[in-house]
Amino acid sequence: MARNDENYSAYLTANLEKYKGKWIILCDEHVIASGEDIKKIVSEAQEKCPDKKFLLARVPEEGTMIL
Amino acid sequence: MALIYHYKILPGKKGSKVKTPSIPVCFKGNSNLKMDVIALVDSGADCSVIPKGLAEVLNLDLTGPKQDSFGFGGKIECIESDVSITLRQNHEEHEFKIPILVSSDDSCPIILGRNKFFSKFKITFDGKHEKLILKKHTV
Repeated sequence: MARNDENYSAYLTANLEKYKGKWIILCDEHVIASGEDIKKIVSEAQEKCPDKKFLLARVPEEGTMIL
Repeated sequence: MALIYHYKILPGKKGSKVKTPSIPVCFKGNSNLKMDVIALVDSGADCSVIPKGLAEVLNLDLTGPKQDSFGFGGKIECIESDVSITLRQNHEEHEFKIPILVSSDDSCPIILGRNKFFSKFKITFDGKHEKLILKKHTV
């Protein structure tokens, strides 16, 4: 769990400007995969960080989000 | 005891910033994989929603009834399913199952809506201090 807390802390402070409109995965406090296809980036993250906890997040596109 | 989360500041339009009440949760479906994700807590959403790509990674049951869901962005087709969710902070942990709508649109954000989620907690959106506070109901 400690590792996951670190990923969340990294997410809170990260500048995600360049990932607008994409899914990102954080592992070891860094963005290790990004893209529009969730299955693809999860697979990529599992290859890069096997047996490690990672965190998936969506960075909204530019503009106000009204759901 | 309460779970306290800071709002996440995300990039907005033309250099502006958007503050969102989003929290880390762990989803567990029918695969062995547990996925830690950031989910937006949305009091305006009737139900929780996840994109299909995530549902497939979690191996959720996608044979449930289909339904059209409506939002500001228009109509999207969804499948009814459910997922186990864990909220954890320091020594506090809460795990329960919630119904979920699986959106066919992979760009759909992960949303925690009211059904079976908001009834578990007293939820405070503290905009002034940019915090979201969830206090578990004891009865």
